[in-house]
Amino acid sequence: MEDLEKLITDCKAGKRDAQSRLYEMFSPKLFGVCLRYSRDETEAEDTLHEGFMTIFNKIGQFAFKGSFEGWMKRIMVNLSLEKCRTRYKMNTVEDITIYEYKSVNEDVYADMNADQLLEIISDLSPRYRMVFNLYAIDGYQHKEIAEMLNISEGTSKSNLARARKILQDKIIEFGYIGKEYAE
Amino acid sequence: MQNKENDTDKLFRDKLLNHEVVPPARVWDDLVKSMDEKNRRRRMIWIIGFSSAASLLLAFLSGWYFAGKLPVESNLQAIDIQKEMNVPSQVAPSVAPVQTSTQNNNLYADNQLFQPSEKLKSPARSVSIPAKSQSENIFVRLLSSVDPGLISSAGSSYELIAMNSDGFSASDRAIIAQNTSLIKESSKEKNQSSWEVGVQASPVYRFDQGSTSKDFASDPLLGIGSVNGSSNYVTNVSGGLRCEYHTGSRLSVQSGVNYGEVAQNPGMVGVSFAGQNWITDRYNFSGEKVGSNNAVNSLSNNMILKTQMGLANIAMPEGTDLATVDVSNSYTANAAKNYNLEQRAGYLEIPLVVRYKIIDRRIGFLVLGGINTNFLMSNNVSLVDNKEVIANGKIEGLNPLTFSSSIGMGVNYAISRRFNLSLEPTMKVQLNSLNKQTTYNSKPYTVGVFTGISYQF
Repeated sequence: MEDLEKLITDCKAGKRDAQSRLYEMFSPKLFGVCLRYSRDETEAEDTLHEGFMTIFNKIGQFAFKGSFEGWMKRIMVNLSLEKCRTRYKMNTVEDITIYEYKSVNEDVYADMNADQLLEIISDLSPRYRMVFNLYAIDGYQHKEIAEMLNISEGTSKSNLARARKILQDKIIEFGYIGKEYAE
Repeated sequence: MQNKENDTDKLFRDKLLNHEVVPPARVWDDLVKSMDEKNRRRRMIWIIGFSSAASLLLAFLSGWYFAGKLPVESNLQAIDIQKEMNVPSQVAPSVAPVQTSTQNNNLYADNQLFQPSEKLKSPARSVSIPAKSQSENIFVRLLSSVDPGLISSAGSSYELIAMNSDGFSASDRAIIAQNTSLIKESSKEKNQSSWEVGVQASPVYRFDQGSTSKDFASDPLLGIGSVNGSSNYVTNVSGGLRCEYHTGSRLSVQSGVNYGEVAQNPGMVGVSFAGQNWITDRYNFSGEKVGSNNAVNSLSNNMILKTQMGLANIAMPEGTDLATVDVSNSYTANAAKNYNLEQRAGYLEIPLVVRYKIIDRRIGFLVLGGINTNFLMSNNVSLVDNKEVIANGKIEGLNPLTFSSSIGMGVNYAISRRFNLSLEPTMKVQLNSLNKQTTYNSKPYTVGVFTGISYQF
């Protein structure tokens, strides 16, 4: 922890070595975040680039209150949302009762690895991807998501429901394919 | 149902919340380039700000200095003496104690009149001059020419002195009247319109201000690496002839002709020779393969690459058979050699600039703004290996006519009545894109400090 504080202090002083070490230390985890929120790897690389530019520019504002990793992660998430807001328009409210959830074999869940999950998450439309990431993985509430994306809570809930439905269908599809291969 | 929802959420949360993926090395390289570029821009802003502040301070101090001192001391010393008249006998009757007239203690009339400088500041006090003249012998001289500084600051005082010079004889008055009219003439001449021609040059720093179209992501450009687009423009020199028309007031209109180059080193190109085929691929500054195959095409014996400035179309040496090959699997680093891609586009610039003099003195200060019309004159792309040119070509799709706007300020120094030195920090912003084909809207802006010498007539 003391090392991290020293590293942050050096980064505040603009030392390139410290910036390089900070990047080495945190870029894999933050790139993982960017990939979850992005359409493809190129978009994730852009977000990571812009995110680290912001981190190095604003690191002087970090007052060692709260998690440094959490602070950096919020920067990446906010940049992803900003891109989404400027590029795509959010969906309006839908009736979430229309979605029926199929039963998914739990073995299929266990078989899927992170890369496969990332692939099917990246296939979601931007609005569903943002809401699902924020709610299901990063633990934000619908009220917070509604404020972050400038949509209503109802829209956030319906987008989440729709995202889950699409993801489950994809997982089931994956299960069938996996079964066929096994046979 | 709720349970299934949570299962899905849990699956993704468990496997992706702390999922780590090492990003490609190019992200850090691009990041370093962007940070360096940002630091460079920050330095330039400091330099320009400091230069501007220094120019303003210099202009202010010199204006204050020359307005307060020069007309009284140094300017008058520079006045030529064409004719001198020694008139002690005519002055003598009004002088009470007769003095021995010697060359050493005589004073020139105009020097005498101006020597106590504080007397010129108030018209009321100038009437004391004739009284003083009674105690000394006076030489009144005819001016052959008038220093510009004298006109602006002391011209009206001459007339005042002439009107109040009761102590002067008729011939003195005639000379003073003649001098006054000469000053008026010169003053009128200064307010008349005139022309100025000269030369100017400046080192030019170019920065990128480009933007991308929506197709940019699927149409990557060589050497950019990211949409943040740190530019790789080369600093070079721009210069030419200028012709300026002074309206007689503080405004002037300038045109002329300048020549400058937009030069860029966008990155390295890997070229390898395999049998009779040239195998091409694209690399960034770190030597990593970038982009997709659609960015490199072969057309007969030409290699075509996409760059910030446009499509670089390079004719490969005669007898070689160029092919675009997907070398992602079979490529070995030792088989290829990286060549530097250098691009140069020469422009003839016709400016139309309006200048406004804020301080109109020997050391003056001005602001300027205008529009430049740029004609594409030369266009070259080279593949270079250690200063040796391997192949040449040209940039496709460059606009033959582009426009830019100028804004700046300047300090000028009048060496003499005719010759001026000038120093003008100027920024030029490209108004339309350099190219018309690529998805990258290339609008570099330039900063330069133009230094020049000119002749006014």
